[in-house]
Amino acid sequence: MITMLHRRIGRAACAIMLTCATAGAAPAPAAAPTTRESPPPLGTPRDFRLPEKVAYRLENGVGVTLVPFGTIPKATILVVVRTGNVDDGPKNGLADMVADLMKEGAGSRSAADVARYAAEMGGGLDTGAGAEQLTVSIEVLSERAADAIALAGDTLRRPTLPASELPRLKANFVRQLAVARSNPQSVARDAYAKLLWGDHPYGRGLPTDADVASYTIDDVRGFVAGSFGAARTHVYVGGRFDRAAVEAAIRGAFADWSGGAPPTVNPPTGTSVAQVKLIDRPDAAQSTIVLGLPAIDPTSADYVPLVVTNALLGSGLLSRFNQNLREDKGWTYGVGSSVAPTYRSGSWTASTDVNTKDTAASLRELYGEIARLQREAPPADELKRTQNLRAGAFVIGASSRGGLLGQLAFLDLHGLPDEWLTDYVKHVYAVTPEQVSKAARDYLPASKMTLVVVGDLAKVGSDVRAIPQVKAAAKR
Amino acid sequence: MFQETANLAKGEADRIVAGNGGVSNGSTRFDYTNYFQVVPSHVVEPVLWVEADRMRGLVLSATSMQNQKDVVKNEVRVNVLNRPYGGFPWLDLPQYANTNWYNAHNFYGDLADIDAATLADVQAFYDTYYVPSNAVLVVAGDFDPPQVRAWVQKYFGGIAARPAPAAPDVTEPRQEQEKRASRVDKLAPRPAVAYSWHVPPRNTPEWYAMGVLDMVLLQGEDSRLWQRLVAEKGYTDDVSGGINLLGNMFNYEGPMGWAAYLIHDPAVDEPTITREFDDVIARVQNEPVPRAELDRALTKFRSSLYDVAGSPTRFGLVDLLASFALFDDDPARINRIDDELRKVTPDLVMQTAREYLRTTNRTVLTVQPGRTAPAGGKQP
Repeated sequence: MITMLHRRIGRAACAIMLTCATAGAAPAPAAAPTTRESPPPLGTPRDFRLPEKVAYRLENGVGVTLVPFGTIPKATILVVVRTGNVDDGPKNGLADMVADLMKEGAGSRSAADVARYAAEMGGGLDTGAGAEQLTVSIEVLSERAADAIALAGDTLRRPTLPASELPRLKANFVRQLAVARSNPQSVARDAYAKLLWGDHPYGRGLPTDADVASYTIDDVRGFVAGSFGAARTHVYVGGRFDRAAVEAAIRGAFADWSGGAPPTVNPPTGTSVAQVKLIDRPDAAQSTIVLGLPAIDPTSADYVPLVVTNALLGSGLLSRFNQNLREDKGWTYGVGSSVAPTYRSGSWTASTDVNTKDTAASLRELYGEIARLQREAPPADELKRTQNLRAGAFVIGASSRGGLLGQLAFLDLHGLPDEWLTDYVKHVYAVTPEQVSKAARDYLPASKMTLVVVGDLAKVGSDVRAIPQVKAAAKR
Repeated sequence: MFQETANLAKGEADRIVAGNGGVSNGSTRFDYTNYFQVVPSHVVEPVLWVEADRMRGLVLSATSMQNQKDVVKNEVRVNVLNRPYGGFPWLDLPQYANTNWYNAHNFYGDLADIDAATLADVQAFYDTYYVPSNAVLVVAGDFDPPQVRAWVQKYFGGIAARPAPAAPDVTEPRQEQEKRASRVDKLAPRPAVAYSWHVPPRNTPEWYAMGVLDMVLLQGEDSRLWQRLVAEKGYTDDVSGGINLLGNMFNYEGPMGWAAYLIHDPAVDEPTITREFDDVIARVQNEPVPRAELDRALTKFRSSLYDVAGSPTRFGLVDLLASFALFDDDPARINRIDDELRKVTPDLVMQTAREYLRTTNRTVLTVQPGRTAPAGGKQP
C-alpha cells in the first residue's frame, strides 16, 4: 500500500500508541506576543506497563515465550532459529534460499496446500533469513493459534525442500537482486556494509549472480541439517489465544526435537578507520548518502545514552539533521539515523537522499551537527522532547503483537535481562545533557566515519572530496 | 499546514506532538487529505487545540512556501525520479486508465507544477476546502469520551461556519475498449507489467463482490493469480495489487481501479503473461467459485479487516471511520462490512467478474528497461 505522507521521515510508517509514561513536559511555552493564544496544558500521564509474559524452556532447550494481550482476536506466532547468513559458508546468501525453499511444502502438505491451509486460518506463512536469525512466522485468527504452531513446527522440522523448485526460486532471487542493484539506497548500503565489516559475513553485501547459481539442493538440505535444532530455537506467541491449547501445540510440535549444534558465535570487529567510496550514478536527480561507523551493542551501559543521542541527531522531524537539512534548507525529504545492534556488535548510521546540487553542502551540515553536539551539551528542553519522543516510540513499538514479540526476541538474542525492557523508559529519562555530548564524542568521531555517496560524480565528486573529513579519510 | 499559524511559530506544533512522545503526519489522497496525530492520552487536549488552530487560519510566508516546495520536490525525486519503477504502477495507472482530468492528471505533482504554485493558490485552496463543513474529526483510544467531546466543542465550536465547496464531477464513462500504454524506465533492470480494471460503484453488492474477487484472485499466496503466475509458471516472484493502490476499497469515493502488477524476466513476454491472466479471469467468469474457496476469501477479508481496524496505532480505525463519515455520513457502516461480504453469492461473483473484469474494461501498462545495468548498480 502506498501512502504519500507529506512528512514521512525515514521509512517509518504511521504508528500509534495508547498510553505512555512520558513525564509531563509542558508544551512549548508561547514565547511570543501576548496577543497569541497558548495551547492548553498537558494532562496527567498514565502509566504504561509491558504486558506480562510467560517464559520457559522445553527439556530439549526450545525457548517458549507467551504474551497474552490486546483486544483483537488474532495471534502472532514467531519462531526464531539462531542461524542465518553467518552460517552461509562460502555461498553468500544461502540462508535466504533456505528460507525461500522452506515455504515449498512441509510434512504431508504441498506448497499449495500450505498456502491454502494458512489462508483458511486467516494468515500467510512467512519465512526469512537475517544475519543471525532465521524466522518462521504466521498471524492467524485466535481460534487457529494451535494449528498455526503445528504448521510452523512442520515447516522447521519436516520441510520438503523439493529440488524441482530450486531453479525457479534461484531465478526469482537473481531478479530481486537485479532490482536491488538498481536502487541507489541498496547500492549505497551494500557498499557501506562491505567497508564497515570487511571479510566478516556481515560485510559480504548482496550475493552475486554467481553465488546464486552455485546453490545446490544439497547445500540447502545440509544447511537445514547442520544449523537447525531445538537448543537454538525460540517460539514466541502474542495476542489472544487459548494458553493451554497453545502450550500443548508447542510441546507437540517441538518437544521431541534434538538439540542440534550450538549456534555460530562470531562477532565482527568492524573497521576502525574512516573509509570513503563514491559511486557514480550519472544523471541521478539526488545523491544517496550513507555515513557511519561500528558502534556498541545493547549490553553496554552506554547503549541507551547513545540511542538518545542518536534520536536527538537524526530520529524524526524534530531531530537536528531534519530541522537543518529539511526544515531549514529544503535539501531533502528526510534524513534518518539509527543505532543498529547486531550480536556483540553494532553500528551507527545516518542516511539521506539529497538534491544533487546540495550534496557536498549537506555532508558539511551533517558533520557540522555532529561536531556541534560533541562541543556543546544540548539544552535541557530539547533533550526532554527527545526523551519523550524515544519513550513514546518505545511504547508504540510495544503496542503491536509483532513489535512486542520483536522486542522480546531482541532480549533473547542479546542475552539481556527482562529489566532491560521494563526499565528502558526510566533509563531513557536518566540520560543527562552532558552524557549526550559525551556519547557523541565517544561513539561518533567523524575521523572514524565511513562514507558512501551514490550520485552523479561529474557534478558532486570534486566538492565531496574537498570536504576536510573526506580528504582526511582519503589520505589513509 | 505544518508550518505557521497566528499562535504557533514554525516547529511549535511539532514540539507539542512529537516532543511529547507522539507522531504527527498527514497524507494526500485522491479525494481527501488527512492529518493525524498519535499521542499519549494526556496530550489529547493540546493536540485538539493545535488542529483547531490550524483550521482557523494559517500564516503563509514566502520562506515557508519555498522550503516546502523544495521538500516536496525532493519527495518526488526520492520516490519517483531517482528509483527504478518510480511511480509504477500507483502513479501511472490512474493516469492511463481514466479519462476525466480529475482522475487522470499527475496527482503527485510535476516539478514544474510544484514550482508554479503561488501563495495565492495555496490561500485560495485553503479557504475553499479547509472549512468545518468539509471536514470530519475522529478521536479513538484511551480517554474519557465526554471530556474529549467538551474539548472538541471548546476548540472547534467557535470556528466560523463556511459553505461546503461544490464537489467536482469525477465520474468516468463506461470503458468499452482495452487501453494499452508503455513506457521506458532507464533505471529499471527488468520489464514489468500492470493491469487495471474499473471497479463497481461503492456500496453496491457488486462492489463487495469485487472485494471478494480481490481475495480469491490476488491476495495471499493461495490466491489464483499467485498460484498460477508465481508457483506454477514461475514468471515472477510476486504478483501484487488490490483495489485503490493508495489505500483500500473503503477510503476512496471516486472511480477506483483494481490493479495487479509484477516484474518479470525478458525471457517471458507480456502477451504470454496476459494469456495467463485471461485464463484465470475466464474461470471466475464462467465457473462459480467453490464454497470452500469463498469461505477462505471471507476469512482472509475478516482477518485483514481486524488488522486494519484493530491496529494498535488506531490509524486504520480512525481512517475507516473518517472515510465512512466523510463519504456516507455514516461511520457505523464499519460494523456492517462483514455482513455485506457474507451476502455475496457465487453467482454474484461470476456476474461481477463478467461485467467488470472484461478485457474491454482493462488498461495494460508495460515498463521496458532502458539499460540492462544502470550505472552505480553494476555487480562488483
